[in-house]
Amino acid sequence: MTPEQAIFAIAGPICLVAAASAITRREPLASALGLTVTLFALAALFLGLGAPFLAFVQIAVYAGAIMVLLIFVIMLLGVSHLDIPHLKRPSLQLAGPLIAAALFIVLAIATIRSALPTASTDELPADQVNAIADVLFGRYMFAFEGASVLLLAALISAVVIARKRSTANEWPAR
Amino acid sequence: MPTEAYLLLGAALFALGAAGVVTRTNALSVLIAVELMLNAVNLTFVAAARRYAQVDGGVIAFFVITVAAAEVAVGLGIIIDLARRKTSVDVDDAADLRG
Repeated sequence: MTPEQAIFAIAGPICLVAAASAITRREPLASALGLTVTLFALAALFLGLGAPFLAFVQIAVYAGAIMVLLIFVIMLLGVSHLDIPHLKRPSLQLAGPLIAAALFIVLAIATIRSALPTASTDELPADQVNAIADVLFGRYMFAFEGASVLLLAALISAVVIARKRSTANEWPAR
Repeated sequence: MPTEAYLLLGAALFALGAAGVVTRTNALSVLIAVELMLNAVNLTFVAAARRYAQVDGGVIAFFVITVAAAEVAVGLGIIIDLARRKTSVDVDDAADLRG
């Protein structure tokens, strides 16, 4: 058993179970914990796929920054917002598994029946950071600059949307 | 491991996330399910990068993480505003077009 197979055998099921718990638990905080475990398992899978740089970006940015923000807001809003969909809409209890099963079957058939182009015999470059930097600041330079503008726009809009509205200084006028 | 194994795992994660988006009524839970779908796609990108020995897939996954960060920041801002206006974060309470 190669290291990659071992990682897949361990992290794959963890990923699925944690994802299932993330979408079935009623408390948003429990869902967030399930998502965090999924993110760590995915980082392990990235390691197995020979992408250590992305694995650590996944842990630092996703499991670190984004999840802290998410959990901060969940706790800010309190635990009173329990999600009990099946009490409100009984049909949802059945719809969830049906939707998941139908979508998975379609995607699985598409994956199995489609002939992927033959795999490359090359190996990924051992120096991942250099290789990614070459591509990121070469071919994808404009996309990279666009992403930084997007982050700035998101930062400003998040402040504008989430700030408390005072009656004296209302903008935009509503 | 064959690439197909990763694609199937990604498909399963994506299906779980989609089911979560459709069935959850708490806006925070919906956001978490969306994150799940984004990560499922990231897994397929990284698996493809390995199969074709090109780092482009990894770079795209990098961009997806960036966009996810922006999406979470704006989404949580909207949810905080929603909680302030409606005193709930239930998506059914936000079904009308004017605040």
